[in-house]
Amino acid sequence: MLLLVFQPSSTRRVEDLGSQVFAPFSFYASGFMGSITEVWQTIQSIGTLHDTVQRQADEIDRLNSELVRMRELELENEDLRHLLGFKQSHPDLHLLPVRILGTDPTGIVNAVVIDKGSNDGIREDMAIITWRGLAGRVVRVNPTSASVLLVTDVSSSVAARVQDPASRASGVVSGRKEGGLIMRYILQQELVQTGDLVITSGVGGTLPQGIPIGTVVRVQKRNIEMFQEALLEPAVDTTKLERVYAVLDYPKDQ
Amino acid sequence: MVGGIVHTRRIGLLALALAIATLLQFTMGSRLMLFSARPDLVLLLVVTNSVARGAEEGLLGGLLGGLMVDVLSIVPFGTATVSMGLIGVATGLGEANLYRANAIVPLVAVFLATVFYHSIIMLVLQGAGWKVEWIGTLALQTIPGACLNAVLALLAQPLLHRVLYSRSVAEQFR
Repeated sequence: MLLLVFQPSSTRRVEDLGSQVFAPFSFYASGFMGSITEVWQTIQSIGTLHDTVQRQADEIDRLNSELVRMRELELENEDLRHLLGFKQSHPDLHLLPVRILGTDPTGIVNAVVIDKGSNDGIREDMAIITWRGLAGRVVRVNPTSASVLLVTDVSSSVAARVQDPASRASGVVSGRKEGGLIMRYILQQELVQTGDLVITSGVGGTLPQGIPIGTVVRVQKRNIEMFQEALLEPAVDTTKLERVYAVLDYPKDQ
Repeated sequence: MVGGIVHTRRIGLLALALAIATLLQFTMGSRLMLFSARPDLVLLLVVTNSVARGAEEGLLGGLLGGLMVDVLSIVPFGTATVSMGLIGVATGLGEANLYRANAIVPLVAVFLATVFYHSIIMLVLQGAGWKVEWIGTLALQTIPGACLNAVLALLAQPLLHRVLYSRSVAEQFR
């Protein structure tokens, strides 16, 4: 009887039967136990989870600030590349980087205060530029700061000329309350066209010549008047001044 | 004694508020602009203070605020000090009772104060040889700025009432 029971073929059948009966249970049981283990591990890691999340949040903050810094550097790099191009076209200008501290608090005058003054070699009537062109002129100097009257102010007057060799019309550029610039005192016979670039003429000797001021957007010409006028789009957006430079020195015999 | 301390503390707070307003105006500049209107926070504070406190403290606030603006401005020194001092006295003459009686009065005071302040600056600039476009400035800067200041004064009414209330408390100590 025992021999019959322990015959290999019989035990094999019992094993097969057992495995068939238990297989579904063991499948679900192992899945269930796996879930239990996962839950347990999660419970165990809750203590460290907060630290991990905090660490990752810190890392994200760090990377975000790094990204912002990189973007700023990229902009600065681009600005410096433009300035290099400007320097190459005006090799004789001696420039000093300056920072804008603030704008005139009265709001009536278009003026800014820069962080360099007479201690740094800033003097009255010096040109303040960006790589795009003329931003303004120094009108008051303190030892550590200076006030700059922007080219867009109505009181600003800059001797200018049209860059186009076919024209070379000269006049005086001032700001307008309505926005933009106006070039006055252009003789009637002079040729001025929309799109012409207007630059500093250097007449008067206070500003270097050849610095872009703006582009002609409209010409106002009436035959009964002695002069014609041109409305200009400023080369520099004076409401968004960032990296500006003071022209400390330039060749006066231009 | 206690009244004196309260008074000194209030003047100190006013000076601090004026300094913050001046710095905001100086550093934020055109970023505070709404279309062509630029709010004048210092002027607003000077008028609000004088409306609540009367001519004497109004003069003090005006002189302090104007001095701070003069230090940072390109406009001939003293222009803002004198004009804001005058505004402080003028708007303070009405005293709190008049302003309590009619909520529109402070708004009109702020509007007129802005027009007066800009006009004085333009007058001084013209006298100093600067080119001034009166009509352009009045139409594009002064009137929109005065309207914006009046709206801001309206929004600042709760603060104004708190100041008025604290005055009556302070007076109990005198």
